[in-house]
Formats: sequence, C-alpha cells, structure tokens
Amino acid sequence: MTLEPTPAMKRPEDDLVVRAHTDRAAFGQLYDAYYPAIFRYCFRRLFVRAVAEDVTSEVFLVVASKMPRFAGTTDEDFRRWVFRIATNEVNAYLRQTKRRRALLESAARSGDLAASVCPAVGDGGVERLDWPALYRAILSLKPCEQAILHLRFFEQMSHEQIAGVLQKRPASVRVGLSRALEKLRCQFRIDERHVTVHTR
Amino acid sequence: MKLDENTLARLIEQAGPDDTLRPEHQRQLREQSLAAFDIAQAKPTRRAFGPTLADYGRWIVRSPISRVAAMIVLVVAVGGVAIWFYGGGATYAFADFVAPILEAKTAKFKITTEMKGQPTLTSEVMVLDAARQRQEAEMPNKTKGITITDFTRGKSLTLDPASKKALVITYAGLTKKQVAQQNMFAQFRSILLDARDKPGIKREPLGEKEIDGRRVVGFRVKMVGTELSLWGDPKTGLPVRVEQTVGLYGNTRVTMSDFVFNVPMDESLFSVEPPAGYTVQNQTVDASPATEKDLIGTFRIYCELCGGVFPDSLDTQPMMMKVGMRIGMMVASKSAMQTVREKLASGKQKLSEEQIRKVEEAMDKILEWQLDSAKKPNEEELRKTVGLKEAMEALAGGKGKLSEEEIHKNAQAAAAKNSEAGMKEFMKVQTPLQRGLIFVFTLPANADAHYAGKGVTTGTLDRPIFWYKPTGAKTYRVIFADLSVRDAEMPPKVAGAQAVPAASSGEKK
Repeated sequence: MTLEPTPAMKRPEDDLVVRAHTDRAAFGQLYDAYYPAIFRYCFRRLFVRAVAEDVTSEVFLVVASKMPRFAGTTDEDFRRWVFRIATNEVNAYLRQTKRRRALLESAARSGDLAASVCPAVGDGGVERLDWPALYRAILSLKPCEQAILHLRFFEQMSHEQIAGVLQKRPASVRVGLSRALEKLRCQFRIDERHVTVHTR
Repeated sequence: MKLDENTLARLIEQAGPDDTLRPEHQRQLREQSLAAFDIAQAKPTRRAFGPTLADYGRWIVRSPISRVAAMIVLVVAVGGVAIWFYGGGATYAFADFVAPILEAKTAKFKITTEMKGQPTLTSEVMVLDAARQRQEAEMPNKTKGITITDFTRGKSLTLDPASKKALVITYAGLTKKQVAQQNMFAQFRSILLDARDKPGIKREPLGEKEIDGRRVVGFRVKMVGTELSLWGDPKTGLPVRVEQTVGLYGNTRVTMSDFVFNVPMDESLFSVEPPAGYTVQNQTVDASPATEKDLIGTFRIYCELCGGVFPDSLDTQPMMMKVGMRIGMMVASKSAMQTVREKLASGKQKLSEEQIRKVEEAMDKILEWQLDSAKKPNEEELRKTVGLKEAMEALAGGKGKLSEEEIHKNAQAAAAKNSEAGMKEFMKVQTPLQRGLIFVFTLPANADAHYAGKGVTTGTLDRPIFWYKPTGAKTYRVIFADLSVRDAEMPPKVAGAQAVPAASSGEKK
C-alpha cells in the first residue's frame, strides 16, 4: 500500500511531476530526467539503436500528448506510467514477426561482442555473458517475461514497482520472473553444480 | 556456489550493451515533445465523471494496421459508473502511413519532378498493378504527354495527342525480376519496404504541420542513395505527401501527393496498342541486365560526342543534357554549314576546301558559344579566318554583320528547325548511354565503386577512371581512360575520385 505523501514529505521530484502537468519548462526537465532511462530500456529490449530511437520518440510523444490527463502526482507515479507506455510501445513493435526476425538477425550479425561466450563450465568459473547471445535468448521469451527481466535486472525495479508498470499483482511478477530465469538457464545450459563465481 | 537469481542478475547486468546516448536525437526529440506538449495543452481536456483513471492502459483497441486507432476507457468509481470516451490523439508510426501504399491493389496519385535547371514536370499517375502504369504529364510547352507501360508485355506507348504521334518501345531481354521491378510504383514500394524494415535505417519524426488545411505528421528516412519525407493524416491513417530526393547525387526532387487507393480502373486505359489515327514510330530497347561492357560503351559514346573528355560525374541528367546539346549543335551546325557552303560556292570569293574547313571550325565555335556562354571564342582568331565574314553574312541572308543577339536567334531557329533530326540522332544513342549508367546504379554497396574521370581525356594511358569490386570477387575491376579494363588487388588511389552511391535496394550482381 502506498501512503499519500503529506506536504512535509513531498520531494522536489514529486513537485516537478505536478508542475509538469501544465508547465512547459517543468515538462522539459522531466523529459531530460527520463530520456536516458527510457532510451536505454528501449535499446536493451530492441537491440538496434535506430529502432530504439524510433520507439523512444513514440513514447515521449505519447507522454507529451497525454500529460494534461496524467493523474499521477509523484515521481514514482510518473516513472511507472512512462515505463508502462514504453513497455507497450516496445511490445507493440515486437508483435510483428518480421520485426522480431530482423532484430534476431541483427543480434546474430552483431560484431559487438563486449563479452566472451557463455559461462564456462569448470575451473575457469563464470566469465561474462555475450550480449547478442543474451539478447537473443531474452527475445525468445514471452513479451511479458522479457519486460519483467529488463525492468528487474536493468532498471533495478522491485517486484512491486514492476507490478505497477505492468499492472499485475506482485505475486504474478515473482512467478513470471522465476519462469523467465529458468528458461534462460535452460538456454545457456548452466550446470549449477559446476559453476563457481568470482566475487568482488 | 548455486547459480541463483542474484548471480544471474550480476551476469546479466555485466552483459549489457553499449547504450551511449546520441545527444542529437535527445535534443531533437525534446523539441518535438515540447511541441506536442504545447498542442496537448491547447486542446480542451475531457474529464471523466467521477474519480480519475485507474487502468486506461488495459482497454486499448488496436487495428491490425494502425498502432492506436481509438481508446475506450471504462472507469468504475465509488457511487457510480462513468465511461470516458477518448477519441483523439492517435499515435501513428511511419509503418502505419506506409501500409496503405504497400497494400494497395490500384493507386492514383500526382507526381511532381523538380530537377535543377529544368522546368518542373507534373504528372497524374494511375497504377493498375505492378507491371501496368499510365502517366499523363504536362509538358513545358503546355501540351500533354501520355506514357503507358505494360512490362508483362515488355512494351511502353508514348502518345502526343497534339501532333497525333505515337512511340512504341519494346523492351527486349527483360527478366522476370525486372518485370516486377520496372514499374515506378513497384520501385517506390521497394524503397518504402526498406525504409520500414531494414535495420539501421535512420528514421526521425518531423513533428506536425499543415498541408492544404490538414494537420499532418511527418517522418524522415535517410537511406543510401535517397532521402524520403512522408507526411500522413493522423485522422485517416493515410499518406498525404511523400517527398523524395533521388538521383545519383541527390539533384532531383520527386513529390507524390493526392493519393487515392483501390479505385476501380478501366483496363483499356492501360493498353499499349497505338490508337487509330496516330503516326507510329517503333523502337526496340535492350532491357537485359546491364553489364560492365555497357558502361564502357557509355564512356565511348559520351567521349565521341563531347570532345573526347569524360563526364564530370556519372549523373544521368547532366550527361544526357550535354549529349543532347552536342547532338543538337552538330545537327544545326551541319545544316548551317550546308547553307554556308552553298552560298560560298556561289559567291564572289571562291574559297579552297581548306579555307572552307576553317570556316566550318569557326562556325562550330560560334554555335558552341550559343550553347555555352562560357565558351566565347577568341575574336582575333575568328577575324583571321578568311571567308568567315561572308559565311556569317550568308547565314544572315545578306544582311551584313550579325549582332550577338541575332546570332543567338539564328542558332535557336536552326535548332528548332532541326529538332526532329536532332531528336532522331539523340534516340540512337540514348539507350546505350543509359545502360552503362544503369549498370552503375545497380551496383551493391559493397562494390565500393568510384568514378575519377572528371576532366580526363579519352585515351590517356594508365589513368583509372572507374573501378568496382564485383560481388564475390577478390579483386577490383578497373576501367582506364583508354577504355581498357584490368583486374587489381587494391582500388586505385586517385585524387578527387567520387564514391558512387549504391542503390538503396539494388540487385546484387
């Protein structure tokens, strides 16, 4: 349950959201604050930068046009709302098989291997995962599972926050996350008994 | 250690991509978002009866084509039920406005072509299917020209209703793939498909503007070889205007507008049989896929006609213009010299063949000067040419020395008189000239083609003027100024070499 903030508890970020309903400059500041996060979310979900920029554009144009009708009054309200719009736009984009295929092909072709391949089994321990391979694995999941994974691991959202974005119950988010991780483990064929992790 | 959520989380976090922001996009989108914010602020807001929205996002009706067509929101509040109908503000993506063009069975639209230095051409186009098209163009002299193409029959028919003349062109050697792609509309659809689906294509929203009193939203797409802006009506989801920059060097602008889709059309309008009462001229054009040999042929013809110098660039329009002018000049010059010869032969001063030849050279220079004001001949040299004065007088019909204006008028009159002859000569070389350029236009991006012939004289030894790498080949093919061809492991290094833009979705060779 979320407590309604008292005037004493109101944060500057919340005040910005309230002002941004009608104030142009405030909306601009809100845009500046959220553009990086939304773009990165779209980019991680869509792999191709140009596509991510397109969809990010869609998101903010929707946000701008609906700002007068947005009912939220806190930064958290706005965060959930903008990520909800972003999730819907990304899912809508991925709904077309042709687009998903194109993204998979991009990931397969990608030479941008910042990390080595799959966690090694044996004495070497777990190294880093290959992003294109990871992306392809995530893309094979259901859209909802993809969204949960991204929001959890890349946006560091809690189950409750993810539930607010996706308009689900927190319990459903936990179950969805668990299923998504299990599918990923199967994809990478990780043998838990043989893996060691170098802690920092 | 067990590979649990935390461990996997750490691995996933470490594996993220390089997601550096692009400041240009951030900046542009900020402006567009603020503009959208302003518009939204100006609209009256509809308020629901009762408490504020709870979960409008759940109830979104999406059509198969458009991403958001309308939103219906059901709000359940304590003490009552309210329904808030939100009927505006639909968001359209580029793909949505492209869809009607891609899916149309028939189409009608207007097309305006603007080329630097050329009069603007406007046409009404009707497309019956991928291979049949009819174009009615308004010519610069206000007459109408009609061109009907039927690539399944491999023919086109051009009609000049004013003079009752018809030209039937038969395209020999068309492949099946060419039949599907020759139609202008089919080629345009191919570009739109690339613009919509090809990964890595830059698409940017252009915001809103008004066209003919309609609010439209726009998108710009930049691709290799072309740039395209598409404006669509968010109320209808239909395209309103498409503006495209084409040509090898972006010197032609094509605007398509007034789109009407899927209207019934009379098939007889697409017949390539000449109507009764027309004088028919037939021509056969080699439409088989162009090859390197065709490019060498293009270079040869161009140099023969244009003073032995290669073109400044491989751009169709300037090249054809120059060839057309040279042919026109040659035809006019030939006709003028015939007149001059006759007059000189019957005149008081008898000139030798050598002297007459020098007069002809001088006349050529004067005529060329009329076509190109930068090429004013050396007056002193001209004055030394024996018999030139008499020749000019002969051309002037005995009126004495001509002023520059009169010379220019005479040249124009000669050109008009000889236009038919000039056109016949031009048409003999038009197709072989174009075939070489088609070969260049359809080279894929990885051919790494370059042109370096500007200012080079034909026959110059060991001077590369064009090179490319055929698909699958390990070496480059290099064409030299003497029109020989050799293979080279590395591309030549020539200062001023121009990279040839690849076709946006050209065939792979």
